[in-house]
Order: sequence, then C-alpha cells, then structure tokens
Amino acid sequence: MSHVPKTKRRALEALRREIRRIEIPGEAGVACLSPGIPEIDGALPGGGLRAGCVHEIGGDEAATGFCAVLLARAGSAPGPLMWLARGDDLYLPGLVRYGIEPGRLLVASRLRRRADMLWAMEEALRCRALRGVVAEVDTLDRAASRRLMLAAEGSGVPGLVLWSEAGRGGAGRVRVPTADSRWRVTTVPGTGMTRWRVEVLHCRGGRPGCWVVEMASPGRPPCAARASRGMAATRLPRRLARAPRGMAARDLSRLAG
Amino acid sequence: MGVLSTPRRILAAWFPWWPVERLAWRFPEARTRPFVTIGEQRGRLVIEAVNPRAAGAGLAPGMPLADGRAIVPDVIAHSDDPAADAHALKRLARWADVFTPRVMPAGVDGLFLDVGGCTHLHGGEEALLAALGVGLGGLGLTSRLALAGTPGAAWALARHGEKSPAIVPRSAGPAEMKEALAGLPVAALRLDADVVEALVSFGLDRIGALYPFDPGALAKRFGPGPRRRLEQILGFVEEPVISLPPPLPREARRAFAEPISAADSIRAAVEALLEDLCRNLSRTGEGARRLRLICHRGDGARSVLVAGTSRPLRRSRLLMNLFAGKLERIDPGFGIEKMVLSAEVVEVVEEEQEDWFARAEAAAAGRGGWTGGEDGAGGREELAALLDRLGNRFGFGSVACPVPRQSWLPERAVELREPLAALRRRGPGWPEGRCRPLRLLSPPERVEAVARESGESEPAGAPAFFRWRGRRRRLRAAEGPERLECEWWLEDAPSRDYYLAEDEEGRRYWIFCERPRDPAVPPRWFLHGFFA
Repeated sequence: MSHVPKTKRRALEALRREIRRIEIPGEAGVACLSPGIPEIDGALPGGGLRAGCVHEIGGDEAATGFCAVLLARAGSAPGPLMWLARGDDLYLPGLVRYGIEPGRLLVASRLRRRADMLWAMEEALRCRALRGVVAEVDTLDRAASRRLMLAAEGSGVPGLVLWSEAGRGGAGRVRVPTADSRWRVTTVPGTGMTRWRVEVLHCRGGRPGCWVVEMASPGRPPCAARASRGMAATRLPRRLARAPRGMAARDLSRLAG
Repeated sequence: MGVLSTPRRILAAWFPWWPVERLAWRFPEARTRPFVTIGEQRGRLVIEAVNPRAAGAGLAPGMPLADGRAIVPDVIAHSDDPAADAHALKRLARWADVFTPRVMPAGVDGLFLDVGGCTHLHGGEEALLAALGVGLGGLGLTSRLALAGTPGAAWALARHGEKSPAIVPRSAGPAEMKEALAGLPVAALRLDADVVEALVSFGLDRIGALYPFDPGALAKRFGPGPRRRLEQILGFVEEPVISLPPPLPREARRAFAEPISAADSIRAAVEALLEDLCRNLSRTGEGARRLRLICHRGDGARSVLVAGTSRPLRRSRLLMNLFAGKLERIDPGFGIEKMVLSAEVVEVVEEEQEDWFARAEAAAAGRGGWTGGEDGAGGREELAALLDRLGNRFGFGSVACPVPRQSWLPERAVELREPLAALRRRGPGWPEGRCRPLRLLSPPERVEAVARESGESEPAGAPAFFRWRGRRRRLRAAEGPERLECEWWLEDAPSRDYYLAEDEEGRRYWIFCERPRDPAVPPRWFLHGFFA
C-alpha cells in the first residue's frame, strides 16, 4: 500500500470502516481479541480477531499454544474460559505459560464424539458468562459451522476451533466454512526455541499474511512476542529465521513453552 | 390441663454414656477399649466423658487427661464436640418418634417422650418401655428409662432412681408422687450446681426433706429454683414437652384424579411439583443437587427421570430446564396416575462470595466490561445453567476446573475441582520457571531411546533417538536433565530425568529416563508430553 498517497489511504481506511459497519451490525461495539503482537494486530480488522465469531486455528502443537495465547487475551476481562477437549491430555501447567490463569479455565474432557463436541461448543458459545471457548473439532460442515456462528453472534463470545494436522484430512482444507478468520500455526523447526510460524489464511476485512513469532518471556503473557511480516514463509527475513547468536540449546528450557 | 383430659404420661430416657456411645457409631473401639472424650479447660486437657471400661479403670469426667493416662496408659482420647452431640441427640429424637410424635431432647444426654395416649398402641406402658429399651440397645446405647406423670418426675427417676425402667402408676396422685420421689437426692430436681451444694450443706440432701418447708421460705433462702422444680415434678405447674418441628419432606407428590398422558399436562404437573419442592427446600436453606422424578402409570409400570445440577439449586424455573429435554422420554402408556419428585441429594445453598463474577461486576462498573458479556450474578446463573446442561449430558465429572496442587510429579501437579467451587476463589499459581508441556500423556508411554554419549552443546545422557509408536525420531537438540524424585511417601519409584527434546520436524517432546537405584538395571525411557 506504500504506493498509495497518504490522503487516499486515509479515505480508503474510512471507506473500509464504513463497509465493515454495514456488513456486520454492531461492528463498532464488537470487542476484538488480539494476539497481542502489534505486527499481526495491524493486519486484522479493528486490531484483532472479532469476538462473537468463530475462528479456525489449525496446525501442530503450536496451534494449541496459539489458542492458549488468544484465550488468555480473551480473558483479559474477568470471567471463566472454556476448553472443550477431545482427550484428557491438556495440561494446565503448560497453558499457564501462555497467560492463562489457573482456576479460571474450565476444561471439558473426553468429548470424543463429534456430535457431542459440536453440541457442547454451541451450548458454550451461547453462554454469555464465558469469555472465550476453544473446541478441538476436526471438520465442520456448513450447517454446523453456521449454527456455531449464530450462537457466537448472539452472545458475543469468541469461539476458536482448534484442529490438528495430525488428525483427519491433513493440512490445507477448509475446516470451518463460516470462520471469520482462518489461521495456521506451526512450529518453526531447528530454532531451538519456541518459535511459531503464524499464517493468516483468511480474515474477513483483514489481510492474509505470514509471520514468525517468538515467545519473549514465557512467564509473562505473550504480548511481548517478536514478529516479522512476510507474504510467504520463503520470503521471511533470514535473520529472524535463525536463532540469535549465543542462543545455545541449553537456553531451550527457559524459552520454550 | 382440663379435668377431663387424660393424665399426662411422660417418659424420660437418659443415656449415661451418651457422648462416648454416640462416637462408638463411628469408632467401634470406643466399645471395647477405655475411651474418653476430652475438652480444654484453662489450658489443660480434661476428660469430659468416659465409657464404662474407662470408668471401671477409675477415670472420671473432670479429671485431667494426663492423670487419666497415668492410670490407663492406653486410653483412647477423642476431642469432644458438644454441637455434634446435640445434633445426634436431635436425630435420635427423630428416630424415637416411632413411639410418639412428641419427642424432645432433655438436657444434653436424654430425651422426653410424651407418650400420653400412645401407650396402648405398643401394648401398654411396660411393653412400650421394653420396646424403647430394646430399640435403644440396638443402637448401642445404654439407657435408663422412667415413666411418670410429669417430665420432672420422670427425669428424676431416670437419672437417680434405683431401678430402670421405673414407672409411677397412672393412678398416682400428688401424695403417691411425693412418696415415690422422696428418697431421691436433691440433684434430681434439675437445679444449678451451687443451689444443690447449698441445699446439701443445710442437710437437705433428699427431695423428701424439702416437703415440710413452706415454699415461700425455700424461695427466700435458695432462690426460686427448688420451689419451681418441686411444683413442676408434682404437676402443679405445667411443663410442656415441645416436639421437634417435623422435617420438611424433600419430595413433592401429586396424584391425579384422571390419569394424564398429554405432554402439556405432564409438563404442567412437573412444574407444579418443582414449585412445591422448591418451597420446602427454601425453608431449610437447602438446594437440590440431584432430582428424581418417578411417574407411576396406571398399569403399574414406572418411568424414572434423574437430573443433576452443578450447584445446589432451588429455583423451579432453572430446575425445569433440566427436565425440559427429558420429559419426552416419559412413556405415559395409558396414563400417569401419580408423580413423585424427590430431591435425592441436597446441599446447603451458600451465600455468594467474592469471585470472578463479583470482580466482573466491579470491572463493568469501573471501565465497562467485555461488550456482549453479561456479568455478576446473572453471569453465574448462566454459567451454572451451562454446566448443568453439559453435566446432564456428559456426566458431572466431565467438566472440571484444573487447579495447581503442590507436587513435583507432573501427573500429580493438577487437581480437578468442581467448576463453580473452584471459580469462587483464586488459587495459587504454579512455581515460575518450570518448563511444562502443553499436553501430557498419562500414563507416560514407553519408548526406546538411545542416549547421547557426549555432545558439543547437548548434555551427555540426553536422548539422541527414540522410537515411539513404531516410528524412529532423530532428536536434533535436547535440554536437560531436570531431575524429579518420586514422592517416596506415596510410592517407591525411581527418580526421573526429564529432557526437553526437539526432533528434526520441530516437534518438541518431554522425555524422561527412569534411573533405577541399581546401576546394573538399564534405564527405561518414557515419553511424557508435547510442547508447542
């Protein structure tokens, strides 16, 4: 956008806002759920993920971590958070590193049947007391996805659908047809530290992009992540894809999540 | 009491070993070994009650525990609990209402039963006393029983009479009553200890010794106590036996003149039952945790619905929601004749405390909370309703709030709490700086691993390869070890060396090596979790 003159850019921004306002009623009041990384926030409409919508987040274990980051940010206003887990392996001491406060997260485990999971997610999204819902669902058909969207819209609760590439279907498929945004988060191998490749595949009113983020200090909420923007992973600046000098594997535990 | 009414018949029961025999329901050794209850008096532990064995060995109430231990070294001492004693006595009173509906606790270790008009149901007064004695014996209680025309007389005879059961005949007038009681000590008058002492110091140690005195003179010297008590035991002054309020039923029932089968009628009936039940529960301050609805059909079949709640609840509208989805499961057949709704599990409804919702309210007032979110008590209700729905579908254990537990072992470091209770307060966090995975395999999965001999950056002993679920993974980097000792007081297990390892695809594993104490035994490797 650098070639567009400043005045025109401002006009464009105003127009975009106007269109968003028409598209989504009550847009101005819809709170946003930001990952807390300025570079990524800037690419999202209103500076974050829309609350009252369903977002799709996929990838490997990093996606779980990213969901925890988003959920922790969703919980910046007081209120409980809900995680609907397929198994019972979710481990809270690990989530705490991403800013989730213990005693605040409700975990429903062993929702192995898809129908159960969808039902539970819809019920949870209708509950206005919650500040955020994560559900580990594989694939949603259009009808189920639409139901979830309506439930979230009614309550204003953000819903995150977390799917795993290790599961059915593999990567590259649309899992939630009505998702407001679609993300893919994977670990960056070979860096010896917690470093994720965060990809926005689709975002209504936002721009797709790809960043590498890194946990600055695991004890604190991850707002202090470093990000770099690139249109594709191949165009990542090299200096960020490489571990900083002096960062031996020994520092892994301090930095890893 | 009118002239024409039946004479009063009051049964007094005394349990000489009450606090101890009550505890024997829970601690059977209180029957077979010297057992005392102790309380603290002026910084000393003092024996409050004893059992027959302890009494036989020479222990007595009021004796310091240290003295008691000197006499009987193996005496079992249990701290006394007067409130629990009183509560148990109340429950015993409820049990005794099979004999008469008018039962009242007498003091801390006895009961009054107003059996006037009830004795013929049990085959006469002697038979009633025998039945009561047998019943109490079955509960493991030693009892002394007396039946007389007034509570005072029965009380005196039960505690100080020579024989048990003692009966003052129905036909006895004031003169016979006086005679029956004359030989008892003045302590049988239920007087304060200092008044008894004063009477005894004047040589007035028997009730009979008080008869010749003018009541006014007695009152002048010893206060109103002896005079009033004398009048009470002789029946000149009425002393009521106030029965305990009947327990409110935790159930509601409806019988229908015409069997109902329409869905709307069933729904209306359940709503009415819930209203009744909630009214009863609100009087006792309780709320239902589990409800059972039994529908009796005309042909004798029954259908049963059970609904649970995540917290004690007594609001019929909310309870109705729990049943709403299930009512169609009722098969009315040819019609339902009767419905019984009972609260199977009840809990006291606690007052709301400061919690996330209260904080939410404060936040909303201060800086305008999360838009679209509903805060405060409404939020709590809504969350509770959600938990109810999830609980009724998946079971109430399925949704939990994990909170930290102080343990070094990863699998024990999390405690699952009931959601609403856990949200109420903010627990402690985990210690900072410990590296824990996002997903934990439980139990840890056995893997075959090869340890590194030595490395440039990786520590020696860290895994270089491992085989898990049939696939061999080469580990590019590893960090560790973090040694965790098992909790020897719980189980005897080898210590574990944990490594954070990353394979070539970038997956991060938490692998540990169990190091047996015996160096000859090769170490075993396990995969315990995954990092993001």
